[in-house]
Amino acid sequence: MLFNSLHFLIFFPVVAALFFLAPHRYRLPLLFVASCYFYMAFIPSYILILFVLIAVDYVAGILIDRAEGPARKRLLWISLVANIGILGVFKYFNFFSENVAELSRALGLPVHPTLLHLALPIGLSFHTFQSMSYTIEVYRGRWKAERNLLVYAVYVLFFPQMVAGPIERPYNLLPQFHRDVEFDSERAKQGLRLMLWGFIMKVVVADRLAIYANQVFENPSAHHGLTTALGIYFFSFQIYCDFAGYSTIAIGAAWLLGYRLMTNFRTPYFASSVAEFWTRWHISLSSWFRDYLYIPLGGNRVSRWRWYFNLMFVFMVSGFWHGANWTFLVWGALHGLYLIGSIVIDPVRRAFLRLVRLAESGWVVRLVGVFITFHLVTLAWVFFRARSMSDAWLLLANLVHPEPGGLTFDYPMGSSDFTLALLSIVALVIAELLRGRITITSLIGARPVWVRWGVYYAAVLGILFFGVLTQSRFIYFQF
Amino acid sequence: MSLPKFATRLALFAMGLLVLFAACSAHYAVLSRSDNLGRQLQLFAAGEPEVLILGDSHAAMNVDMGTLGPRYASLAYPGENWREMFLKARYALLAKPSVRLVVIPLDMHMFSSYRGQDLDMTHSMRFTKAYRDLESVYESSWFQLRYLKSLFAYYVPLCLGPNWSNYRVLVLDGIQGAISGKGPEKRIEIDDHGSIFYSDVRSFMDLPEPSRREAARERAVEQLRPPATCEPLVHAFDEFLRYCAEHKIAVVGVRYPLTSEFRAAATGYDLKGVEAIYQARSSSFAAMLDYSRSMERTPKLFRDEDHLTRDGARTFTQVLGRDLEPIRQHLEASAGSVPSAAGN
Repeated sequence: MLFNSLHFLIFFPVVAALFFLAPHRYRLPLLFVASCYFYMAFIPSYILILFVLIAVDYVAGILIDRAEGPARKRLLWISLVANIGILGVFKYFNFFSENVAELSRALGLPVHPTLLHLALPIGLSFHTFQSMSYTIEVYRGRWKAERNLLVYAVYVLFFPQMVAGPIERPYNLLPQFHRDVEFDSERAKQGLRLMLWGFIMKVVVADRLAIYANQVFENPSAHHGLTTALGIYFFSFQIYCDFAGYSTIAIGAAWLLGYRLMTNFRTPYFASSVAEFWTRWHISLSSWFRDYLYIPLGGNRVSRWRWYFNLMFVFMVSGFWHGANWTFLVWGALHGLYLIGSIVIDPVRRAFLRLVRLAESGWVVRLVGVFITFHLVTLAWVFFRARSMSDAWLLLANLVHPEPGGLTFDYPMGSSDFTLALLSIVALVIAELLRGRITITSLIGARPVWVRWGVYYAAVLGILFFGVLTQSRFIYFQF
Repeated sequence: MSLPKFATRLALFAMGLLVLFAACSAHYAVLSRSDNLGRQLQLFAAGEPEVLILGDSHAAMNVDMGTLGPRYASLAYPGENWREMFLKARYALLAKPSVRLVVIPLDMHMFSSYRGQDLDMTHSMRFTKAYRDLESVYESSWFQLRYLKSLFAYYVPLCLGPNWSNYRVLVLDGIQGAISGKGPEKRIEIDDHGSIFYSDVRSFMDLPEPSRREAARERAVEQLRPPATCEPLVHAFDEFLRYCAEHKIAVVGVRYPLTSEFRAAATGYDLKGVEAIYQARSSSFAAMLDYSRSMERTPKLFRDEDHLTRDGARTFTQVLGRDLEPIRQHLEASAGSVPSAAGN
């Protein structure tokens, strides 16, 4: 079920109403049933995969908790292999099979690749990572195994975040399912406002930018110069609004029900370095890789070359997490290179700042940093979005060739849609700048009801009027 | 605030929203009277055609009505399926007794889930709102509910998401037009002869070879994904042929041109069942014309993997017209006797 569907707009109020009307003891079973229904709206039979994962990790958690010595590690490995194995079969099998066949052909041993014709279960990478974080935390002794199967099942299946995150940790989410939640109108209003903002980001901004970006990325040879550049910039904002929009709706929906999910985005395009970007973008995933891969590899407390290897390895795995394609690997590798590059040139940068007498924390340095970081990240998005490596190179090559016949920067979409796309980016940047300083409550909270309702009516009708209501999927659903 | 008080306020808010929604919907209904389908129906009503062309975007965009002349009319429209074509044909044949020949598509995706999943009847309700007519081809579980939903969406069109985009375009174009004095800009246009075409000018050959292959693969996945034959669509197709036979209307089937990339991508799908459906009903056709490979030597005339450019449509229509004209003349001469199968 998509958040931006009529189905969800009926489903969510019904679930929320039943949740608060039901006695406390029935609320968790209700969340379980609702979450199953939510997931089964995609491909019903795939719920069985989730049940297998839940069963394996639930039992593994309890056994790890009870076991001592090397047995704990063995049990953890069983859990990890089950999770990664399922992910491998559905997501990576064909990629490896095709590449092995390609390599064999290159070596003169033609092999026909064996391909599995399986649809990728929605959000598989998200819930396997959430499940793995549970067993790893139990193994590390930081969290006691969950004895209540229903609580654990809802932890994996919780519908607001099950298909595209945030990827929760057991210590944040599990205790919340043990507490009784009372209805709180202020919390409900906050939740609804968050959901409204999420819908604006997705339906009004992301989906409109997608019209232009899709044309450029799907016909890379047909566009040049500024047209291509705008397509790439538009995708940069599209993916942010698409994914942050999803996370905001998820956080708002969970908050309305009384559950707090972790923050997933903090104005990432205002980051002044790539390292800072990764503390603001998809925080639940980047912190997962930090906690469960980068630090276990030694992090930065190793030799310099090993540190570089750790960075590169983690970002390439992150790229591969996003998709079984060389384009995602290159995207991850680029971010790894950015980070290694920033470490290597840091002494030079500091020396230069001293020379020109600019403070590290001054606004000029920060502004230049934001500009450079945004463009480095945007350049990497080309590989992330392109259908193939050859498309990505073509897009980059076409950037330097002007559009034949002059600038036709509004070609891929109508001029009114193009104007709306530009205005939506400007509005987004202003909203992001004001974030944390001005809230909708501080602006209209004390105003009469007709003013407040007028604003909310305008927002809802604005979504309908300016939005692209074709129920396009969230980009991150594919991962 | 307690839960009942909050719920009451929320209900009041929702009611206010519904009033605003209804007002916007009424405004949209006024603005959208002259859309492409409306214009197509106006052109059809104004003529006395003998041949009616039906189909989806392949027929709508690959056939140039200016080339065929006034004896031919098109009511082909992008995205249409056998259910819609059947109801539209009944409407058209009742409105124009001059029609003796109907040209329908015999493409391989016509019975696929890609077409079968569209159970919204709003579009068809422009041709009939009768419960029994719609039930005869849209029969499915929850039909009554679907019928009511479609009827509601017919009268309150902004219930359907895509109509909001149309509404925005109409309002903004109206404002822009009022300021600049220029007419509205559309992505898909209709000319004075009823041909539908993309307003942009591009060729499939502009894409590099890997991108063409990928685009064709994606299109094939979209159009041909299993099941290749949805039984309700086969039923609607049979209803269509039965209706034409009853009313002594000759039927010609056309398989429209495809790029070699798309045909290559389609080889991965089991389409024998579709072919068997067409072959089993070959006696119902005055002719079955296969042009799927006819434009292979002129790939530049394709706009994308399965649609021609406007120049391509003109070139193809000359060939199509040359093949249809003897059948039309034969029907004119035999004045109503339906010829039997004569496929090629």
